[in-house]
Amino acid sequence: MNFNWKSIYSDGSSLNQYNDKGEKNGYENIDRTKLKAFAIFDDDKLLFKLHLEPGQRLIYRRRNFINPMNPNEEANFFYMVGWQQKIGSTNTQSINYVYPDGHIEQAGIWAGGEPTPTVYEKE
Amino acid sequence: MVAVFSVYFDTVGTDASPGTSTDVDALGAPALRFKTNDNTTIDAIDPVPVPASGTNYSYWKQIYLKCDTAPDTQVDNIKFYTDGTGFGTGITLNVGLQFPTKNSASTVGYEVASTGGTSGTTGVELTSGHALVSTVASAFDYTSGSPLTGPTISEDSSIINAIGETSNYLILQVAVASTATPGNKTDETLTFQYDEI
Repeated sequence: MNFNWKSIYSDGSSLNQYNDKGEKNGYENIDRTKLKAFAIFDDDKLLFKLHLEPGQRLIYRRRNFINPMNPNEEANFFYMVGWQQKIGSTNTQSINYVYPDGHIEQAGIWAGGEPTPTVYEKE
Repeated sequence: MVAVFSVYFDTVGTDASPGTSTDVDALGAPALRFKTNDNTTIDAIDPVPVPASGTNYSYWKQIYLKCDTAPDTQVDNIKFYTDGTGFGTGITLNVGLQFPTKNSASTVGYEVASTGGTSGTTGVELTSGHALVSTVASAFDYTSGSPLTGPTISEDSSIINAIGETSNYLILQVAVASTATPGNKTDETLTFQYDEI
């Protein structure tokens, strides 16, 4: 399991998290002014690709979990990849949660922890 | 490089100058035992007795995250939550809603947990005994869908981006009321979460 990302730009160029020499590019090196797509790989296997529309800003984080009561427990994590866009006064987000086993969940804004699905009640 | 953190808690010493900083990795599960003694030993000595009336308190635990391997860019957005199940009737795990200062250069937010307490009987209630904590809530009110925002970070720029940097203190204390039942309680699951880029 070796997650890494690739930024794909509107001018046809791209930026890999690791270049051919194994040197690392940081999140801050991503040129957001021409970012068209963002992909997550496990080694060289594509797991997820996000396509950005004009006005959508990339969201990318690794969310980690530690249980202080049981330090021997394997640390959990997932990657959050999505976009944020403000339309008028409304802040809209769409976030995909890429888990270590490769499955992906999608949700909007949520407070934290695991994504919580919205429950709709009958009127 | 993916960041690596350890969970530490500070004990003994004097206010603003803890005597011992313990990595819970060295203790094994359960790594935190709430008792009326300001030590790190996981044993049944100095429990919090069920009072005939009123409430007895454990000595508080001053806990923080410490960076062992630095992230590529930064770590922030630390949150804390529980599984929401609780220890049972009459027993509350309180969490301080202020996060006294702890960083790689300062432990000014530390206050000795045993001050005013009596081993084997009770500690002092957190908001009464710790000058930097004014409000508490039940930790079990905070779950994965509604976590507590904190502990905060008082390193430069309010982020962690180097080995040895830490979060501020998150402080926990068990309160035992007369309605509690005696005995060793089932281990609870607590969780720190943080975001990394």
